[in-house]
Amino acid sequence: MCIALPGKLIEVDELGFFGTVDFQGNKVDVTLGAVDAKVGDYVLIHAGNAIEVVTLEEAEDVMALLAELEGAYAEDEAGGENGENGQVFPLFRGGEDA
Amino acid sequence: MKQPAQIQDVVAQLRGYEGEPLRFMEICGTHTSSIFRHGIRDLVSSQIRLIAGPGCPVCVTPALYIDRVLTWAKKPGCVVLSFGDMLKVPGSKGESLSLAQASGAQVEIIYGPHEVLEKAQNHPDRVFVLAAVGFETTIPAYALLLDEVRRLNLKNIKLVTALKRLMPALEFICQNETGISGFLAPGHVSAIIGSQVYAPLAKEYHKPFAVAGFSAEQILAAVYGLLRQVQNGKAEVHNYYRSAVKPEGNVKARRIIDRVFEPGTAAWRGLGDIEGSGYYLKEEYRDFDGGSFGIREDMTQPQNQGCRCAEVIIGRLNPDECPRFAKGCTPQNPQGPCMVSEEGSCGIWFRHQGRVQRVL
Repeated sequence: MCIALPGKLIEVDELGFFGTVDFQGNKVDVTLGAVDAKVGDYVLIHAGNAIEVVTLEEAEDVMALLAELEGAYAEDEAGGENGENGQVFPLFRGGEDA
Repeated sequence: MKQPAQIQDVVAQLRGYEGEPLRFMEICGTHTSSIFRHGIRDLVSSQIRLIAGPGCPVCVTPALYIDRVLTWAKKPGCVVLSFGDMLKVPGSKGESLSLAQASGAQVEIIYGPHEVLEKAQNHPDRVFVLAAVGFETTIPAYALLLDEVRRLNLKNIKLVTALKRLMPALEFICQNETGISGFLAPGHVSAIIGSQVYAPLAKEYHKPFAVAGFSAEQILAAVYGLLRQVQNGKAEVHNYYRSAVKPEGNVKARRIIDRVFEPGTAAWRGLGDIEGSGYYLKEEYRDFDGGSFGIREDMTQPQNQGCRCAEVIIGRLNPDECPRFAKGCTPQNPQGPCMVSEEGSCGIWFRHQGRVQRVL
């Protein structure tokens, strides 16, 4: 139900209430009142309404986020604690170990 | 130099986990659907159980609500507009909007609330009643609609609302359901309410939270992130869907919601009444209300004999442990809301039978 898809905003009406979004060639009318979007932005559309402007140029790099997280844990673990059961997760092991 | 990890490494870690049994709850029906579509339950260790929480607004909507909408559908000159998911949900006497439609009631499917504007303008002689369900993701669309209805001075639009706020329900689950190791926080509800709202719950109940997007990679990364938090004794909020979810959420959307709606107690199928967990039209918008108040019967009781949706909704039962599952309750002939909705656990489970690993 809370499904939402990003599309490119290609037109905004004079009141800024309605806009047209291009979903890979399909053009759909949406409401825009809940975001500050301009033509050319990518907007996340749910139930015919834009809920957020998405930053597609900042590509979704979850692995980078995990690396960040893993770095923090590596510091914790280096501090003496090896995680529960002494188990170290080797996912982001440094190059010299690999 | 760190080597870039691959998603296969994440999968290998999730599959190889041999520690304490863990139960991670996803609270968004779209997550549940994606988890099944990508076979993620089969990819992780049997020690990691992914359970579906009350994340489908159709599934948590009380049967009495359907009864109210049905009353409108049968009134001459009235047209009920609804998302498709609601059509087959049985009311308290087993009748659904779909059945009513077959008997001549006016029921139309819409994809977005704004579609009512054109219909109402073209047919001023009819009353259009919107079956307005949803979480914070959907609610701004209703609020914007009513502002436009006011501007156009349309008098033939009503809303019967069953709108839900996530956080009071989540707190209710934290208080009442022990044995949940962490939460996969919803992606698009979080786009509105933000990621930082989970921090007080994470701290108070010592539960890790991971806000996740909907691709297999995003979900796997978030589940792995939860696992790592548990391993490290952490209870923090991590956001794996930063392209759409800001720490503070969509402040403008929340302001629009607050202009039109106010919090109040609401009934959740499976959970019962939860204080402050619903949104209701404010006094100054009450002329649009089509009977949204007082839908408060105890939904902890099953509506149909043997239907155990209430326990499925809060993750106590796997869908196939319900005695009616696939035995008289199927997506074609649903007995309860979890089987009806595209995002209900039972319907998802049913459609993916054969690909589902038994997790108990």
